[in-house]
Amino acid sequence: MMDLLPVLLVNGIVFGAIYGINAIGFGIVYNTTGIINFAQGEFVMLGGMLTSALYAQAHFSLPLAILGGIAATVVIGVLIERIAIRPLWRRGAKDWTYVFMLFAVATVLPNLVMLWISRDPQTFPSFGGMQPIQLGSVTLSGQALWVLGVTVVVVVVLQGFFNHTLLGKAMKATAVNRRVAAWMGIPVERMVVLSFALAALLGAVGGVVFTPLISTQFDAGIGMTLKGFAAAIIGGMGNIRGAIAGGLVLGILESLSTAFISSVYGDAVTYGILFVILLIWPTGFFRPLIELQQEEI
Amino acid sequence: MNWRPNNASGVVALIVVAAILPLLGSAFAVTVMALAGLYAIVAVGLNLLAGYAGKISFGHNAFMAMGAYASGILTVRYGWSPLAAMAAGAAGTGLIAFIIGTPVLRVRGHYLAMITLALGQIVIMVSTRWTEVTGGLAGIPGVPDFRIFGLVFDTKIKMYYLIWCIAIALFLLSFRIVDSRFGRALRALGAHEPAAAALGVAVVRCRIQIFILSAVYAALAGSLYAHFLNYANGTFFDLSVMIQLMAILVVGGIGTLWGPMVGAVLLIWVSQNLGSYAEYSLLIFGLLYGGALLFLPKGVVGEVTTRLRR
Repeated sequence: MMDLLPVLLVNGIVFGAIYGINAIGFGIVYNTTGIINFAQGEFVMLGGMLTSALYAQAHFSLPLAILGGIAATVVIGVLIERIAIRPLWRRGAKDWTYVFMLFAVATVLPNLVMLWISRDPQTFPSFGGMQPIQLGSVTLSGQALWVLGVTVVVVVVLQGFFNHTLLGKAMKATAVNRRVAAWMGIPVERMVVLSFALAALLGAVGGVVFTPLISTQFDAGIGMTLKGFAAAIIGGMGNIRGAIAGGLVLGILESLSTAFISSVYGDAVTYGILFVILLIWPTGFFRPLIELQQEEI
Repeated sequence: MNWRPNNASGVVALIVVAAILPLLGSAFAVTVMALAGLYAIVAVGLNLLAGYAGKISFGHNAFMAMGAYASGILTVRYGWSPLAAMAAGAAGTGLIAFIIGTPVLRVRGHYLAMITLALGQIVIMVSTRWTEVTGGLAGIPGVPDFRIFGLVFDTKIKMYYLIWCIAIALFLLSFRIVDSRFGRALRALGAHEPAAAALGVAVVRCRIQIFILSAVYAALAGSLYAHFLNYANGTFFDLSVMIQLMAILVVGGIGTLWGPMVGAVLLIWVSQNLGSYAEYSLLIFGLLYGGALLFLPKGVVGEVTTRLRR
């Protein structure tokens, strides 16, 4: 079994990168609004399913289908904020109302996808353009390289955005203290809609690079929500590097546990790990954004 | 015209309607309303947690499954009496809720919702694969009829009466709880946690206690479910059950005494009468309770009481 270890580690890193990207999405919404987005994983599912529908059913070319799938998911993210969140926000609803609402969203979206697109797993071809790399005994497929490359790009771009642009700094300020941000003239409601758009974008990008590896399905969102959340907790909500680290930890643990503990129980083992992590470190072990404040994230 | 509906007259009306329904309704109606009674039990417990203490669990389907499996396994394999098995299931579930709730409920925010969502996934996944203990996908058939003090509940109508007796008893207990010192503490902490803490409410302990109680309610309903169907199977308690429970709470009126009861009867009746639209049931439930959050924030019961008070 031990000779499998490098392969398992690499697999864990590839999957973990996706959980990490999704965890950043969790953190962005949580920080600007204080809401745990129970529909975050649905963005991953939507990215994959919409792209595959555009590719296989509407016969778009792959790059066009990918762009379309991501754009449509971002639009859905914005619509969720507009239709479901903003009315509650304006009414000053209690915090649990958002949890219920996003759970309703996470119920409705997969069922619509199931009825309109397919109830079967869907996939589309790898992006291509990357040669597989041989690392010792491990072969990194072209798509795995895409996953890692996209993750690096996402982290670099987001760090640039939050640390060096006015809009990004405004979002960070909203995250640190909503009321003071509003006093400083930051349009908080616009930051909220932006946070949902960004979260949807991240989820969709994750879903799109991930789907060619193992396909996706209408009900895949809930697993992505749970794993993304676990990664976000480990990494400290809103801490970008922490989120990626959390994702990698979770991905590697998942990959090793499926191989060495039990493959029969599959995800149950992963959720068990998540469970233990939440029980032991309910606030994570990286510092959340709220404590980082002026530092660069 | 000065008469206002109050809780006592409501309970009397509920008992009368529940008692005469089997005399008037079809066998199908009795089965549906028995199911509504089971959901009402869980929803009443969940309402204490979410509506009064302001914490959400997405894992009460798992607690129901635990009750059902405890009853199924202990009665079928070990020949326990149904009552003892039910008590053991409730106690075991309460213990699990204690273990989960203690660390998570210390933290602010909705970590409980996420960890219970994970719990639900784990329990259903394990229950369908751990064949030696749970019978896997085949479940545990041949769960005996419920019996207590020589009474045997061997028909659906008898089970209907048993379920509603227990549902109404637990419902009345929830009245007592909400009106007790503990209930006032609970409402205080749901309304404004720092203020409640400042006034001396043991915030964490209160939350843990109510979480355990609501889990026990769910386990009792699960046990009854296993006896009602003479069958225990984890797939009956998948995430769709949790979605129905959420819809029951929100549409009925979360944080109102009568909300879960009214919601359970309404929505279970709807869900069993969808006919060829059954495929859309989760979509309908999702839209229903999302819509209710937007347009009927206090639910049917909250809305009706507000109108009547005018």
